[in-house]
Amino acid sequence: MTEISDWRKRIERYRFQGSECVKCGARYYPSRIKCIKCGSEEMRDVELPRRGRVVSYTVIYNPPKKFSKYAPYAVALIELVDGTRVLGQLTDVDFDKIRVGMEVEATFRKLYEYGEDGHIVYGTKFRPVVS
Amino acid sequence: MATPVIVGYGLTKIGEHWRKDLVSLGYDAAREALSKAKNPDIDAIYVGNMLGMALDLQGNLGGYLADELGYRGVPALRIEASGASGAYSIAEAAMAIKSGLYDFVLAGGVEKMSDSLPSEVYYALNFSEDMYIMNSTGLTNAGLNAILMRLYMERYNVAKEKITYLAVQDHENAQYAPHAQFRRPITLELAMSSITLADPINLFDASPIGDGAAFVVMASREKAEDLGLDYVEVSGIGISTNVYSIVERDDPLWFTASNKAFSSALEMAGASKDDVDFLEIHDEYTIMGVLALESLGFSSKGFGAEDVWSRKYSLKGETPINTFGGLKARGNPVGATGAYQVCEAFMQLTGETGENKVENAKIGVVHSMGGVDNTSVVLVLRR
Ligand SMILES: [Zn+2]
Repeated sequence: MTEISDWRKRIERYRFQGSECVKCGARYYPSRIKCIKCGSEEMRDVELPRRGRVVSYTVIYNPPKKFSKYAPYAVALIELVDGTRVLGQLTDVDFDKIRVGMEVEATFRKLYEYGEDGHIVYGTKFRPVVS
Repeated sequence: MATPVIVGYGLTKIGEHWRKDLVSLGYDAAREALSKAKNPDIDAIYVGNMLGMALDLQGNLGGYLADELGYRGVPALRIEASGASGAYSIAEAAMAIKSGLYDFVLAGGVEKMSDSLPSEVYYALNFSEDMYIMNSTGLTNAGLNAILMRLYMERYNVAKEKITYLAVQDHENAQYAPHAQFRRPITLELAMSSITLADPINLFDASPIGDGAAFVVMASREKAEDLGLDYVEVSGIGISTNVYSIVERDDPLWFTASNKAFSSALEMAGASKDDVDFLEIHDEYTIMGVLALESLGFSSKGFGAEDVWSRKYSLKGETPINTFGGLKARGNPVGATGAYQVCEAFMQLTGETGENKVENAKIGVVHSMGGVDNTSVVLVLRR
């Protein structure tokens, strides 16, 4: 990804914004141009619910180059309260406390920085809900 | 329509080829395949390759290899479908022969991975998935497969040992395969205790980084018979794609593209699942192999690992798989891997197997995936 593609995706990443099919209500994150459930091309932007549960997860010890300095870090498959499934990093959590079914909420964080100029990419991560 | 057949194959040992580059490695395998096919007049060349543009910084590989081989003027193309590139290029060759346009096609794949740092290789391998998702999450292919593995273990209450056992079996089968990257048997204890790549996936659940090239020469059956060449028929071809991201699939543990490609290939071959004598499946990660066995219908949902554990798929089992070690032990030079699988199926069907022989094998199936079932290619080979 280049700086420009990061700029193009900034709203989606910052606001945790996906797309919703006007016809059937299916939601996607990242956004889609066409609904894969019903085939409609009538899609609108939607801010996704910020709460969900961990369906499955991993802890990455062997990261790709861009993420080398952040490892180890946890990434989860999360089902939001509206049923939309997303992938995202978990933050503010001990790895041995992560459980399938754990309640999490979206939070605005730095994703990573790269390049000689230290270009910083921000976006959404997920942290445990403290009851 | 012409019937596509394989009349010769060539492959290099998989490993670290420090003195070879992408093209010279491809040259060696292609040269061997051409010699075995008695050097026919080649009408076209298809080169499967995934990482050339990312790691070797070399594109237009078709024309480059054609020129090196001395086939100036011959149409040549690089085909990229991630881990399925090699199988896809052979499928394209088979379709070109079927169409009647070409009589002889050289097809296969080549990959050079060991020149680059592992972190660069892992990053480039991510290209088989949606890079926006990979870049937003720090996921790797191992990470995606780890998420699937945990989901599988939780949903079906399966112990990890039973999944990882596929790696033990792969190593067992690779001992007698001269071209395999790892010919050393391993214990389950070793496989379970190796370093973690992406929890719960560890080093022995993952296929290694390696260099390799494999090619076949394809012909129409008519031409092969005219020239008195021994052959194996490519009687079924199936290619399919899936919803790209695992999060949007109805069931991330079900590979719809593999399932569909297999049905189409069987239908074209006029064969049924029960006719299959052995399988070469895409087990880039142990869990992928297990899910492939379920998605192709050889194991019921949730029983793939159990069946591997009970040795249903061993060399002497009901349906042997990965008879030369699979992606884990034979190796996984990505864009060449599917071509290795096809060469191995050819070797099984012609009896050039040594210790790895599957008795009375008449029909072999090659299953190859690009990404996590993003693109799947299935070929049915028949003696
Ligand atoms: Zn819709």
